[in-house]
Amino acid sequence: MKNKPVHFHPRFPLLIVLMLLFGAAGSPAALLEVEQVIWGMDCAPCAYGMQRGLEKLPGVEKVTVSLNRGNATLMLARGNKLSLSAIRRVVNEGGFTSKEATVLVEGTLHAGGGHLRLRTEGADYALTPPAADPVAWNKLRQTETGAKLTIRGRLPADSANEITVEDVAP
Amino acid sequence: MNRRASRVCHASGMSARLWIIGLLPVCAAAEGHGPAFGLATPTLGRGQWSSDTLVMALGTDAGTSLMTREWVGYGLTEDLQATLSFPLSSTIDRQMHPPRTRFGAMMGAFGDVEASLLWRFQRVAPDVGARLESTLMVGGSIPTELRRRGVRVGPGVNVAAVTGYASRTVYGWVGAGWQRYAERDGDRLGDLPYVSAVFGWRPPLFQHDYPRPDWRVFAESIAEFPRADRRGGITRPDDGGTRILLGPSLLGLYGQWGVEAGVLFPVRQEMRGTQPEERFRAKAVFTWWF
Repeated sequence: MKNKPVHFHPRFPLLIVLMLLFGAAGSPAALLEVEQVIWGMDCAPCAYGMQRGLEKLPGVEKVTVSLNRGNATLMLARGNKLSLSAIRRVVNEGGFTSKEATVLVEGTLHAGGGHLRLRTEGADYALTPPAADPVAWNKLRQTETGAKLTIRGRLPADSANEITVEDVAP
Repeated sequence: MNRRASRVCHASGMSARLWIIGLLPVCAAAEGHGPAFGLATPTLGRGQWSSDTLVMALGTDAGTSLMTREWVGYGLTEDLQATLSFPLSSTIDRQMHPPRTRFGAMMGAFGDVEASLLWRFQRVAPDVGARLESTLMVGGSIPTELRRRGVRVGPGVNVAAVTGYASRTVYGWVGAGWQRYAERDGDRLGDLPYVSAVFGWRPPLFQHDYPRPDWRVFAESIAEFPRADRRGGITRPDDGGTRILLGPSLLGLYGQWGVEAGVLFPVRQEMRGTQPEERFRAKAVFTWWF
């Protein structure tokens, strides 16, 4: 049996280009950097195990661990779907205690549940104002929902989805 | 071939087999921050492995014995660890009356294959790099030889508990354990109660951050109270006693590698009968995490 020939629409290449362009513009928002404070990590093998465990997480490009400062810093690939909960799970399974984290996260601003929120590919964060220095928070409140933002903020040890906003960039 | 030579050859054959087992890719990630001789809390996280290869020299009035042993640990969870340790080679059976001791508080006795479960039942992280924790260790052993010290040796159990504090500058653990052997044909090795205490320090000179090498020094002490063996249903009257040892050890850690060396000297020995006096214990440990 003879195969039926495939005919492309004359505008097909243009469609591909448009899909790529819009696809890039709407690339999935995500955590970009995470500095996770870790308590109880006292030895080089502990740090080695921690580094290796975090490097195995999908979307992680680079991990540095400091024993003296007690933290792990993760650089993440754009478009990753990694959540802070997954990072903290690795910390806890190492036998250590995860404390607060500082994140750089890219996402889409929206409102819900009485909060301003930031939606990423892997999570939906509630945004809260800092106790002092409300400049970043005021900037955020003047931003329209639906806008794509990059936020630097802190998450307490007992929450992986509530960011105290420290800085905002469009 | 006389009886002793036959026994040595048997031991050598067994050691060769165990060496092969030791070379299999059974993975590793070790005790981590701990001392060479005393009890310490484990450090393996969930899914982590460690391998320790040890060489120990034990000197007594009757001569010096050299032994090697392999220890493999695996983190079942962050608070539950399984370990297996087994002898690779030993010349201690050439001594008529070798001292009753374990290869280290975390290890089995000479000639025993020992499997243990370590449960960290209490853990608090009060600060960066610091933790206060307690562990219960329960192990079972089977001997690799028929007789030890002229006594038929049976399977054994070992139960120990340790609590301690680890940080980036000071470390300390205290623990105690009890090893007991089953009777075999009317013979039984005496119980071995033991206590250990360790103090560690990381001098400012060594307080570099990861991944630079991490060094720490320990002062370790072990007290052992071996009970008398029983032979043919009769307890030996001139056996058992008390021995307390004290000495330094040095631990160096670099990434997934660790080296440790230490030596203990007796500070008090009250052994009954004509048992040889112990002169020293020296130990070197090579650790691999993967």
